[in-house]
Amino acid sequence: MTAQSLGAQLSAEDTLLLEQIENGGTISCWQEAGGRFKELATGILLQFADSQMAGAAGFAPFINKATTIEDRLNMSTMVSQKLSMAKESYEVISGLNFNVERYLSSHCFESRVLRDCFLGFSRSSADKRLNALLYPLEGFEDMLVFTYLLGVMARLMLGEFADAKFTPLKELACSCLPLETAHANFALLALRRKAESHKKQIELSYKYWYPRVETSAGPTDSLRNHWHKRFGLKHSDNLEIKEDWKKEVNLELKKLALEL
Amino acid sequence: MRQHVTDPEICIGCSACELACPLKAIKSILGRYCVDASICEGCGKCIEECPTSAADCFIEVAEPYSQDQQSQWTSLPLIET
Repeated sequence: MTAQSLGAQLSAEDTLLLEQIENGGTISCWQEAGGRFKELATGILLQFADSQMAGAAGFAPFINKATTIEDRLNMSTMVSQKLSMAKESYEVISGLNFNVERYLSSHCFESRVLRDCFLGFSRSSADKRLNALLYPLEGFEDMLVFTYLLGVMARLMLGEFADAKFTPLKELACSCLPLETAHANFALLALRRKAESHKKQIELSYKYWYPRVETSAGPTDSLRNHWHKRFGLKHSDNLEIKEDWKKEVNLELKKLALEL
Repeated sequence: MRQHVTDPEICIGCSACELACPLKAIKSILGRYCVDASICEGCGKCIEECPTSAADCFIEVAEPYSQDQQSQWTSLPLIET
């Protein structure tokens, strides 16, 4: 979103929405929304849905790589829940004449960049997934580190959306929050079990994933973030989310006696 | 020739493409965002801003569709081979 597009005059519907939100109101459906609001809310919903689709595609091959039947069940549950969350999010957007099947047929959620790439905030995909989901996983322990780091980030972001002034987003976030929390917990518990036997691999994966997942909080001083807050879609700055994420993951992973 | 259009089936009508276009090649007609083939230079700014990738759409045509024709679409036209 450019400064040019954000600086453009708001439609009458958007201006009314801003007034409503500033006065403590909520937005219950798309019919009340103007163009700017639709763009911002759809951006969040599609990023979430596409990230879940890409996550499910990336995790599916690891079901059979888990060493225990419990972990295979956990992995398959995680894949299934990611697809369910994607479905739920696409259903919200379908209220805007958005044909989900048409969209899915023209995107490949299995696609990944080369492992050594670092994209930062630059876009490299036609779909709207988080950049962290564009990098390939490399082994079961690597998948666990990634799942934990991104799971905590997802939980923090869903926590933001659970307080949104847009009811469909709020409901979606409230329903997905326990699932994302469970995915992060599953990965952390598995990492605790493997911390000693796979110490070097976990440390290497942490060093690889940390900067790649960190960008998921979004850039500091982002214009989009400013408008998300004005429209009541988020309440925190990207920087605050990033700092909360750093604090939590560093605290938990240091307990595993890793050299980070 | 390859014509840049927006996909009516996934466009949510938010106007991000229209606002992003530096050449004002995109306008809303009957709520549909239509690209003027004689103005569009394919810079891709609209694609970057579109929240659903509806602007990331190109079709092969013998003659470009006018904006008025595009405004009538409910789906992309069938490509004649």
